[in-house]
Amino acid sequence: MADHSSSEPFSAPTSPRDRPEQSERSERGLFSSSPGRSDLPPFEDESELLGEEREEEEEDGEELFGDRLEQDYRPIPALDVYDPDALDDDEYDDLAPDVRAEVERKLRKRDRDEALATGRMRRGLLYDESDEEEDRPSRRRRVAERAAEGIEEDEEMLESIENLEDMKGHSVREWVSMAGPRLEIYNRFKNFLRSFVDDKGHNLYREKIRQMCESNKESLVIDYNMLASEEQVLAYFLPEAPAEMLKIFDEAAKEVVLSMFPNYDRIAKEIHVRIAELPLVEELRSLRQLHLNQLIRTGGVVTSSTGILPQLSMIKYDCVKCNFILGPFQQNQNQEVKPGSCPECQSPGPFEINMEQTIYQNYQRITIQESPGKVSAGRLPRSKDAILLADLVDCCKPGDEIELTGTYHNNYDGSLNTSNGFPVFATVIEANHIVKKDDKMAVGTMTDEDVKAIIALSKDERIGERIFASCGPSIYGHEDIKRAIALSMFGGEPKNPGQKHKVRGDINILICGDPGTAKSQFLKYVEKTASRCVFTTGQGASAVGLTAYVQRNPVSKEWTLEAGALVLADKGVCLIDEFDKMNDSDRTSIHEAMEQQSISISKAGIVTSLQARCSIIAAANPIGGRYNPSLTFSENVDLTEPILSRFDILCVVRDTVDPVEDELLARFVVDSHVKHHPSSDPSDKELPTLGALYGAELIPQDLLKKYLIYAKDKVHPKLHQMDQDKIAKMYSDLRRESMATGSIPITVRHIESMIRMAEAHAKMHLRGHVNEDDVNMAIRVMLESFIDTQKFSVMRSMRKNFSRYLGFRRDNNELLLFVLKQLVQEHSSFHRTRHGADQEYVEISEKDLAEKARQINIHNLVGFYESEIFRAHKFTHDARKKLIIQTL
Amino acid sequence: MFITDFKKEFYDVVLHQRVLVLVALDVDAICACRILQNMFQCDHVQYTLVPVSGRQDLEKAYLEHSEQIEYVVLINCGANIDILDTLQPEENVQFYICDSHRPIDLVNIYNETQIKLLMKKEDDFSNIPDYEKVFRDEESDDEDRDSGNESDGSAPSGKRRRLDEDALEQQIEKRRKLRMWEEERQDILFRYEEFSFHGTSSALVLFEELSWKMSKDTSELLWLAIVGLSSQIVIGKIERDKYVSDVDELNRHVSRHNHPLNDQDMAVSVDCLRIAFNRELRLSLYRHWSIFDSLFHSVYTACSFKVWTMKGKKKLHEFLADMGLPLVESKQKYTSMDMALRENLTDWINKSAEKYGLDDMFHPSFQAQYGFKNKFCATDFVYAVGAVLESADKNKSDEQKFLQAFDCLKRSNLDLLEIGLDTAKKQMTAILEQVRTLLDMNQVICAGPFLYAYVQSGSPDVQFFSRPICLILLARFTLEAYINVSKSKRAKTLPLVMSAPMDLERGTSIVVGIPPKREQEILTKNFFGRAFEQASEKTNCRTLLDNFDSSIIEIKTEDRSKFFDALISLLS
Repeated sequence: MADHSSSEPFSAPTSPRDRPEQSERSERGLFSSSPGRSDLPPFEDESELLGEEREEEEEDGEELFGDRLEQDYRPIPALDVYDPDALDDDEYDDLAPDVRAEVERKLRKRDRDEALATGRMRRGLLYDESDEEEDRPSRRRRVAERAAEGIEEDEEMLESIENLEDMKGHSVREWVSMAGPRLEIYNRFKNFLRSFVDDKGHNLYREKIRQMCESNKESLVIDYNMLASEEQVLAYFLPEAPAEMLKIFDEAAKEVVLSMFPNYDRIAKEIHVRIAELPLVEELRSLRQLHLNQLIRTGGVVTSSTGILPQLSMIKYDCVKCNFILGPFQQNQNQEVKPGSCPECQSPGPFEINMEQTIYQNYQRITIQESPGKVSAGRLPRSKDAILLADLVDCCKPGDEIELTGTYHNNYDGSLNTSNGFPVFATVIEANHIVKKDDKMAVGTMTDEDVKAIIALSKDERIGERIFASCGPSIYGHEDIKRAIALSMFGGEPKNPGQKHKVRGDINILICGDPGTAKSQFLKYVEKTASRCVFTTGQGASAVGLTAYVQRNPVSKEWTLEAGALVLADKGVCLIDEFDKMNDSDRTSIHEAMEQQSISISKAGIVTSLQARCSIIAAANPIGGRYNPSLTFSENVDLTEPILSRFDILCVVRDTVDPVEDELLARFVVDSHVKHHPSSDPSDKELPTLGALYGAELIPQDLLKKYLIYAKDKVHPKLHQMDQDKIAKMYSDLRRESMATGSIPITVRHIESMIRMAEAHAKMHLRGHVNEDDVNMAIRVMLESFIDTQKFSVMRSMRKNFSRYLGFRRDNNELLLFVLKQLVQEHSSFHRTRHGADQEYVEISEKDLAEKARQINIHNLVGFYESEIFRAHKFTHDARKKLIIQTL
Repeated sequence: MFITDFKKEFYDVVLHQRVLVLVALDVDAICACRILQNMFQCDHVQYTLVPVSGRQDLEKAYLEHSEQIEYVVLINCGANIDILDTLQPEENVQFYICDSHRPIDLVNIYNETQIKLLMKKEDDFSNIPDYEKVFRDEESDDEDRDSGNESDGSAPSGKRRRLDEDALEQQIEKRRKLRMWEEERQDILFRYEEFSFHGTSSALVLFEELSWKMSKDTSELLWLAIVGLSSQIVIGKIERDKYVSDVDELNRHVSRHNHPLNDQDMAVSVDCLRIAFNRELRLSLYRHWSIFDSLFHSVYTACSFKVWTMKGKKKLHEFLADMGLPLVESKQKYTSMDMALRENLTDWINKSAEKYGLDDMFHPSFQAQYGFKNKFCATDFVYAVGAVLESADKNKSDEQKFLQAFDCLKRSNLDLLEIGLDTAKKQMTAILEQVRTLLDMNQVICAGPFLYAYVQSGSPDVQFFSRPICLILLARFTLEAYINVSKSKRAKTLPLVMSAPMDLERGTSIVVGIPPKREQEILTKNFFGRAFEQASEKTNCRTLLDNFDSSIIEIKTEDRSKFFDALISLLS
């Protein structure tokens, strides 16, 4: 009975059984459900009411649902076996039962995880769970279990949030502080650090981490744009909630570093993440309320900085009553964290800071001011305070121009409150990353290839001429000034015999000349090339400003010493323009710096001596505007003997009228203007004409800068085997001459200058010892500068006397050109006085030139006639008529 | 002739006589000399101690001091030259030679009366040729000729022609045999003397055979033997295997002297010398310098990291960061380093070394501790004594430097040792700078069958390199560095010849040759001795083959290029 009446469609699937015949069913009808109780009278036969239609329906089509359900499960032997062709049983072995159970468990676990992630119902709801299956108890129970065992929180517990952007209505700061998003951000950032590959295919951050660990540093610089391209959400959150995000980033970075270098925490306890290249740069002026608590980037000049102070970062307190150590409390920027009561003895009593276990960090406060160049017209620059922590401390000094990335905070300052009457806060920038604008060149950043290029360059024989030609490439002519400047930038060797008596190694230059001869341009050139230099003008500098001054420190309210121009240029170059316009009293303060290389201060209770080992390059104008060759040098320039003798090289620049030279100069200047117009095509930029004339190829400027730094650092030329006789003889000759003609007296200082110049020349060639060449070159420079400063009448005879020295190394062609020009000048002046008019061409016989050339020991003129110089100065050689013709 | 029982045949003989002791100028010799001196002092033997720097010095010293002396002891000199020929002594003078230079001259081996060799028997003496092959008695030669003549003269005329023919044939036969024997002899001699190498350290020999067998050995003497042995491995005179086996022997003595029970009982006072055996790091002087400097200047680590390049320096920094050693600490003096770091240093280096390819960081060695002062490793001593011996001070003569080095080894002169250590540090810095210059300027030239490099006369620190031991250290460093840097496979198997200016006034340079590197180690068999000799004969250069080690010669600077051309043609 139970059999056929329990054909309920809703019971669990049981084995197919024989179903009662259709007839029986139709007899009873669908509505008989309970097991029939035979004692009850049967229902009325309602089949007339309902049955016929159903029967018709039943006869049509298949029954999918209904009495005939069991029919589906009747055994059909033909269909109840698998198709043997489609089976792949022979490809796989049978699994051992335990292996198979294991596999099944794994599959089930995987399914469960997937189901969990995608939010479907647990499988267990639909099917029976066997006993061996690992139960996944409810979350709370799991947490409790783990907490009891003390295991770390399993990260997989928290669901990974795919849509981090959806903040579900919270503000960014709240959203980021919640545990779920926090973890997600942490993981994503770790992933970013580990796997970011830039367009060249390098794993960029691994390299950076390696470099950071090599030098034991604590900061990792991340480019914001790279972060934005990979993880947009993180980049979006970062400027909105910088403090929290940076903390998360720091932890993630620390973990990545520890995975690469497991023992690194012995070296550095924390890693800081620094954000660079934030796209939006604000001016200091334009920081407003909406920037509060955001990450901003500004630039400015540092005006003052405090010393480095320790700031509490994690405090531990001692309870006075029971000696229990409370803490650690992490300190906050804004307010002080104080413990309420001691957990041991419940006393609210006074707590002392435990000196040993408290951790401090470095703290420094600097003031930034807007760069004077960027201020809009008519306004004064504004300033703001910035706080530097941890390893940012001491990275910039007053006077540097920096770009600062940091968080814009407010801080509560009681005094402002009372003075303004209502809560107004002072603002401060908590710095995250500082970049100095001019910090590009340092010896430490020179790569091996740079060093190789420099050494290869130094093996060139004509490196000397090349360097001279490359100084001030955009200025025409003035080789002697270029030579002097090159020697001064390289500098000689300071000596300190017996630690008692210092001899300076710097070369000082004075350029004196007519207006319009590019003196200031040279100074500007040196400012760009030399590694450390300070530029001042005569009128804008006072004695105190040049040397050092005392100032009252705003923070500690006591007098401190601040550096002036000469001290800032220590181990560098100090450029002084309009030297003669300086007050005499100011100029005397330079005396000591130039020779003794130190500056002594005794004022406001501070008595000390500062180092000022700089070389000075000065430019001056003669009295009356133009240099008067009939007077001696000291009469022309308004400078006294003592200071003149302190200069090693005195260059006189005269603006002479020479048609050929002037034309070449004009051509050069126009050319230069055309080529260097901002909108011209940069590929056209060349200056071939200047270099080719003198046969030397120019060196690119940044290579020259690196060369300078390398040479000054690594090469220290020594003198040995110097030709002492030559120098001694020349010195006595020179002194005799100077006594006879009454010009600048030659002093012992000049011998030292020669030695310094010889060393500088050796340094230019990266040579470790000084040889003949260097000495000869030094003598020549020395003599030229000396002779140039004489009176005109004396000059010629002197030149003849010292022609031997002057003729050194000068290209024969140049010498011949010089002689030829003299001949031309004589001819043309003769012609002018004779005929009263200028001639268009000048003819000179070859014999005259040959005779003059023999006097200076040059015998072969053929090379000269074919040289570039000859042609460039519009000379032509007619071999038949044996004439040299110049067309004007 | 070899002596088997040192005591009977050597010590007892000289016990009550005056002895002349001639000592060569190297660390091993100084240690051996001290051991001998100690024994002599115990037994009140009168002796004269003269240091000699080369053969000429040896002759001069002998001439000066040889009146009424019948017993001469030569330490680390004289085994590879013919003593009787060089010194021309009288008949009754006995020579005792204790030398590690090999090959021993055959005259010295086979002379029974005047020359006794104080050496250990087990060194590869198997290749000593037999007496008959090399020497020929003169009498048998004359006899043959006489018999030939006699047979000529005495036979009747009838048989004369036949006898003549026979005799002639015999003569021709004998002459042919003579020629063949001569050729064979030349061949054997050439092969025997082709390579020069070194045997057991003489300090070790004297310690074991003499003081130990006479039970007069102390810890101090044992330490001297250790230093002598270590000097051989530092300069590369012996191979690693031999070094390890010698170290094993010494270890037995060490454990005998420094039995742990002694320490517990305090039977030996704390102030005594205590020697311990351990696996040392192959970093030279690291206990007296900072870890960073030591890593920077030791041959093995410097060449593995290539620290003369910027990249190499960065790699070294990375290695330190990987170990977890802060840079600041590693540049600090070792004795002032943090205790926790110092203790774990060897472990950390061990772990990180494999990652960076430094498989061979450890070698067995000994360390000595005087009381509670700092420990010294045996190689530290070698460097310090070598530096004192070869110091660049122009005011002191060789003798004075020798005596200073001698004094260094005495325990009471630890401050002299400190000075020596400082000089050694300067030497090592100079070596590294020089190697960097040589490699940067590509001055190591591949000249056919060998590599050639020379130190320019204007370079700084050139005064360090005019002494042989320092120059050999520089040459080894250069060879290792060059092999690490060069790309050609062939260049890696070439030997190296290095020259440096020796004396500017006399215009001479010193030239050393070191053998090539095979299988991770620079070989010890050096063929340059013979090569130099032959090259200088061929070209008549003004050379002075004076040093006991034949691969170090002095040559006039002008003749240098001629000499090298000859050498190239000889070896190719």
